[in-house]
Amino acid sequence: MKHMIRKIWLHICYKMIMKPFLKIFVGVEFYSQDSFKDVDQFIFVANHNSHMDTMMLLCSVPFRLLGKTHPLAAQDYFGKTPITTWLSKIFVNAALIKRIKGDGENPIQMMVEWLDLGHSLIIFPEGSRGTPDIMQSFKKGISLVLKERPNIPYIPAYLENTSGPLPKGDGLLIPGYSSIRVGRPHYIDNDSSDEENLNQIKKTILSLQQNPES
Amino acid sequence: MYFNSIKIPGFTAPASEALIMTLGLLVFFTILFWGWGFFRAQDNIVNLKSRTKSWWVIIIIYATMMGIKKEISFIGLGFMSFIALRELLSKLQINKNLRRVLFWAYLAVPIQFYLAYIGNFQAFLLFIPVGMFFILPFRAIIEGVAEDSIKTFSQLHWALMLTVFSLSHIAYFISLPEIPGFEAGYQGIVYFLIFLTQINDIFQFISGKLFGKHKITPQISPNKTWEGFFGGLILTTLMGYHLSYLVPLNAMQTTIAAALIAIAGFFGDLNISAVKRDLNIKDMSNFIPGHGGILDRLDSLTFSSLFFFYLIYFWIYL
Repeated sequence: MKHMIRKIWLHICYKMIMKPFLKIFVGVEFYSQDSFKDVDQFIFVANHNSHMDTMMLLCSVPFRLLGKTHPLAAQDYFGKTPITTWLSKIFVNAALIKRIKGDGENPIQMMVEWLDLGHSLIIFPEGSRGTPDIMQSFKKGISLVLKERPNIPYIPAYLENTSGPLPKGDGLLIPGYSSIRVGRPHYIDNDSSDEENLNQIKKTILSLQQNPES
Repeated sequence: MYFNSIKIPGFTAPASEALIMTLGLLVFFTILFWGWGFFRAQDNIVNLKSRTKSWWVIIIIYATMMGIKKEISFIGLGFMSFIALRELLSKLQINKNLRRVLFWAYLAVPIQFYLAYIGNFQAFLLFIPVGMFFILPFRAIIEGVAEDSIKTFSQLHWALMLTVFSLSHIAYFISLPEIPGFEAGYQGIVYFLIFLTQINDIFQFISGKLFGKHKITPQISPNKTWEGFFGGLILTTLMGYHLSYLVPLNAMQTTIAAALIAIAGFFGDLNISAVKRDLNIKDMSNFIPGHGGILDRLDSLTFSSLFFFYLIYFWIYL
């Protein structure tokens, strides 16, 4: 029941309000290739340049999976005050996780716990928003989590020019152009090293950029 | 040509007459092309089918915008013009340091359509050509950015004129005072403009396909031929003559207006084609999947609306 309410609430927020707003005002174009067909649980990975990224990814998740999809957010940034914690939980459905190890909590272990509960995660392997349009090196966490649960696929998405309408360090949203291209689900090779896995993930994300619609 | 028989609620009798005529034609062509595609699948009629589809969209948008409430017409037209402006500006690579100037340019859209709504003709005429011309540099100077300023000012002002100023004239038809004894009202005038602009595209396309030999501007658009242009001009003028019950003009004036819509529409179309060629893009955006952006659809209208408006204004209101 609680899950259903959350699902409908997020559906209203993202599919009925946010998506038309992004399409008409901001000029976001959504492309996908039946990415979520036959997928019950996944890890969404994408490049990260703007606060708009999370919104665009959530808009791409189908209704069936929306209530159980959580963008990963840093506790020390989004969980600073009770109000921001509440806002990110209600409006973004975020999973707040501590970046720094300590207090006996391992961030990787916490992500695996979310997955074991049947939830899906949205992860930006670059960590932070970084310099616009330059892809930074990926953090190892994504590979570690996927290795723990190799039966869960990752779905790559390429976000183009999201720093145009809403760049880092500027709160003014300006209409323009940006696009999101969601690819097909992929599985990692459990025998490969973390480095190889990260390269593989990076390659699938970047391949969406060159191949717009196929 | 006007029978005064059936009336669609919300529309004046002549406007509903024209709407029903178009709907009849559309149903006829939809069934024709569907049957054609069904029985002769080897023929390539994708272009014809997609044109029929976009006519359905045009007529539905026209009916919802013009038939319900005046406020909806202004908001709807404002939205179209905003999307056209956004598509154009997003392709122009405006300097990132001048974001706030860009934001002010977008603010011109609601103001311009509000001025059309309250019917203040002088302010409506002056706001973008003169007002925005001077307001945009104000914001850039407050920002303190010199780099790219000439380029940005010219691009922003030009884009505003092309998308907001020209398309807002369609909205201003609604605010023009009513003409005694003229039944069709603004719905008829706007329908005359939109219908002729769009049908001119089709007439040009058909005559170009049938007789096209001599290219007009191979650099801008290789598909435009003199035969297509004159075919479109003649057929559109004839069509306009038969739709004269939609406009408050005499037969001579209606013919001139229809011919002017055909000519201006042709140049409006090529103007956007030249812009796209310059930017090396095929479509302005993918807002309507399979049909490109709003500005790709409204290209002819950006010129024809302005010329037609002033023709009506000088003949009737001056």
